[in-house]
Amino acid sequence: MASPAPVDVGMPSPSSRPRESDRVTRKPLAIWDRIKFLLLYAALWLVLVWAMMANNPLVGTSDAFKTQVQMAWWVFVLFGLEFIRQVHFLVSEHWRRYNQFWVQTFFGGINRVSRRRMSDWTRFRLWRLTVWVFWIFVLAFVVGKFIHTSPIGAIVRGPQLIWKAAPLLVYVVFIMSLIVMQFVAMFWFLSRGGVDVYYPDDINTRFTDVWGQDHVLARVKENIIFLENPEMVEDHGGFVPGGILLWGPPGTGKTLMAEAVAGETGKPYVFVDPGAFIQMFMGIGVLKVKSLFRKLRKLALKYGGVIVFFDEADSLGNRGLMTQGGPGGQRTAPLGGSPLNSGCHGFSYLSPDMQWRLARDAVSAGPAGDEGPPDTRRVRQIVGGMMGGAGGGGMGTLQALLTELSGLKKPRGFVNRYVRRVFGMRPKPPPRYRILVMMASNMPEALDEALLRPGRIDRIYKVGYPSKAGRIRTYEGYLSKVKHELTEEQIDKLATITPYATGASIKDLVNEALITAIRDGRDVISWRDVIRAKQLKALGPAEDVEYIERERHAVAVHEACHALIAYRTRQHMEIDIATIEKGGNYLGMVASIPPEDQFTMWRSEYETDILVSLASLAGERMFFDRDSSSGVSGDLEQATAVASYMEGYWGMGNTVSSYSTAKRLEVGSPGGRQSKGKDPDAELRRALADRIEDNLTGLLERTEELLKEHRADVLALAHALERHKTLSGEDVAAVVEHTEGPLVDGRPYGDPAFAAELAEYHEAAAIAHHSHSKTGRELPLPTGGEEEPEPVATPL
Amino acid sequence: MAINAHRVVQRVAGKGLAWGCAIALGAALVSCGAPSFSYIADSGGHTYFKVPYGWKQISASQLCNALAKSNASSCETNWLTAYEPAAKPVATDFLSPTLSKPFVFAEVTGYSAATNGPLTDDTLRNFFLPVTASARSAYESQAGIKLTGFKQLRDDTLSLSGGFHGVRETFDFGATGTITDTYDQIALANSAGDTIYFIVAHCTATCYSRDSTAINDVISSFTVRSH
Repeated sequence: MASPAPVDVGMPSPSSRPRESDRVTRKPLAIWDRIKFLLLYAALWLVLVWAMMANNPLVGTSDAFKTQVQMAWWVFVLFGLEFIRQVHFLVSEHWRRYNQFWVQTFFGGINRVSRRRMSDWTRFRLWRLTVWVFWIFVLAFVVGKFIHTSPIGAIVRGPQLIWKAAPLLVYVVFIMSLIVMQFVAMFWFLSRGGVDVYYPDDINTRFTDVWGQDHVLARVKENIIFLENPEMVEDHGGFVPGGILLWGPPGTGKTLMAEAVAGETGKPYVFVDPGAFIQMFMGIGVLKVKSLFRKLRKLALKYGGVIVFFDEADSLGNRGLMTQGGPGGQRTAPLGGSPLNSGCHGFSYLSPDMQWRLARDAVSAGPAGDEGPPDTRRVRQIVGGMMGGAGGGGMGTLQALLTELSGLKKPRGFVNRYVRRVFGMRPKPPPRYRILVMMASNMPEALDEALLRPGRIDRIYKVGYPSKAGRIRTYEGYLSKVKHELTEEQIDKLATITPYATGASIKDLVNEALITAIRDGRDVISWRDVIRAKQLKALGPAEDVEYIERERHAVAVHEACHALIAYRTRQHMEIDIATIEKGGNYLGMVASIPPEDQFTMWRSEYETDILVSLASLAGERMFFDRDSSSGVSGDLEQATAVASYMEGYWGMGNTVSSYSTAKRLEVGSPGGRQSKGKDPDAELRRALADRIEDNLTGLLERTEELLKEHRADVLALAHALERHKTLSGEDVAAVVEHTEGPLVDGRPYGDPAFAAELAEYHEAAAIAHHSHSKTGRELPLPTGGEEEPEPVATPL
Repeated sequence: MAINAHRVVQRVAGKGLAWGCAIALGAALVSCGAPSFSYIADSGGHTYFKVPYGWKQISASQLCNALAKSNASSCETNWLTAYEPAAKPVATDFLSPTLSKPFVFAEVTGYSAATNGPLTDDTLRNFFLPVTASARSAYESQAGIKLTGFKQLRDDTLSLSGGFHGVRETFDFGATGTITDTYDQIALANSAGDTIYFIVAHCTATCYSRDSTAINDVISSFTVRSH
């Protein structure tokens, strides 16, 4: 049996090339590298001999050689030094101990001693001084040859030579300036700006000023500690994370957090304006990025670290979604799952190839929502394409930024990289630049994936909507700056009824409440001011339109039906506001809020949503003798949409299969068999529509039964709305439960006599509605009477 | 195969280094030893001559001082230089009539026909010392001495490429009761007649007889190239 042939006969394995640090002897030089300088010096000497013979007709060859041995002695010195150097290299290539002595003991020792005795900044300055001296000597040598003097003599005569050459230099510079100055000036000015440097104590914001984001803040603090004491990590073999991305909805405190970092840290803080990379000409952005990082490196060396903050980092743009991975390639999902999917898992459980296929389908299908399920969260993810590769910064800016972020560990400088290499020496590695890159964005998916990879942005933190505890802390923080009489319970309640409030919106709400109080001649904020401010923020200013009585009653009944069904059936949402104040595009509304953070929705909850939507139609038909208004159109639209998704997408109807998939793959759907000669798509729709209609009809009947059961409560709510125009959720509860609410006293509605009076008022209003006449009755008032309600918001 | 190639490269590299060393060593050995002459050039005037290696140049400042005292020439407008085979050459040797070692002096100077008359071969002969009979007579009557030691040894007329022309004179020069010096000189003029190129070597007759070969090499090497 033949043994398999060795695969490496005559061919070194690709992995056989040792690392530089693993070499015990010096890497052998190529022949050219061994002799190039020797040849150069020999050629130089021959040129000098030739020049002597050419310049003096009396000089013979022998004498020229002999004379140049004496005159051009320095060429022999250089030749000798190079020869010794090559011998040294040759020995180092073959003698391990000799090489180790020079690499580790001698040069390594010098390196260690210099690192121990000098800071990186001092070493940098010394190296810079050495570079200057080197170039001055080279220049002096060349000039010395021209003016027939020694290099030292050339340096001594330097000022005189410069002075003599000054007129010519000035002339040349002037001519060149005229030509290039306009471009230089334009590009220089354009590449300035957008970058502000703050030094410690310039900013007064502190971590204690950031409320409601303690979990993120703790992590950010950690980064600052590491920046200021990198040895904590590096001494144990780790590395300091160099980049943080703060992402989340607007107003949640990302920029404030960055300001707090600036205020707390003892390092310089560089703020990069979002518009800094908007450029008029190609290349300005690149210049800006390079200039920015030059400044950062300098600051990092000088102060031992620097923090740079890119606000609204999505302005840097990206290179398009499809450039960021492909079939077989793995797209990392730093933000959790796919940006294209609103499902609970994204599609992170699928294979990478399937993920890519679905992503491509999603992109080609256009923005989510055309066919897909409604996204209860904000859909803002489709950012692919980006005009063929350029983002907001564009034109190479992003690439320059990526390069600079990666290039912090690469050798720099012409002499370091080229001159040292010419002499067979490796470039010196750069000092450790302590640069912490912070970015903030509310469109993290718009950022380039390469920007977010570990090594550039190591840590990605979501600065989401504050939790209830965070909102309470934020309310307390802003309320502590004003006079108020809110109790802890009320602040807790306020935090509950403003579930998606951010730091910015809470600050705005407290300020609006203060303005409301000042408008009423007070300087102390009360609970009522806060509720008014909240309603004003939620609904905007009322249009101040007065309904005619019968229409006001109809609108009130309409909204009362919504409110009652919502109150009676919906547990996952609480009524926030019920109003018949006419707004910009509505006659009235019942708005609800989730009482707690909830991330999944259930069939029963969707059904109650439909019940609430259908309550208006059921109520109008019931209270106005089967008559109904066009005002229910929006409600029916919502009910139909939810029912459709339940039936066709979410598996909450009579079938299981997904309508969107069935339609795309043309496989038909249950109950919609394809038949010859008919449009299969139309049949599919019809079959689905029937099921949706059946479902809605059943839910409408349930709604009617509920309204019949609670007819008196509906009229009570309608009455409260007619009287007060706007009710809070607590007021709705007070009316239905016959208790005292913050604005409305609901106890009179428990009186049967008053309920009968309300029923009579309704009958009169219904007759007026049918006959288009006046109601003929005043709106009944409860026994004992209440004080006249104040308008919710008085125009300034 | 790659390993073999690697070895070949190493061998070639080693050979290259060895060849480089050999060439450098050879060049150094060939160039060992002092050159025969020192080569002097006035690049501005394109005037060249050579002196035996080891002759020392007299510093420009010394020479200027010596000439200024004797009012022989001006340092500011002319190029001039001087050499002598001494460890510490001195400018005053130039005018010393009892030199036991050669002294070489060269000069390039302007000539004004309007001031000094037409530039003839006799003008060139008498540029440094009175050589022609008439010039000697005038000198004797003016100085009140008799040049009894004068003896013409050579009087050649020179015509060179580029329009240069002139004379080479070798003569003994001395007054009654003094030691006789031997002078060997070349005086050339350009075609425009506005520049004189001059070189002279002198020492005692005994010295001249002894070092005639070296002196002849110096004076014969005097070369002027057109601009």
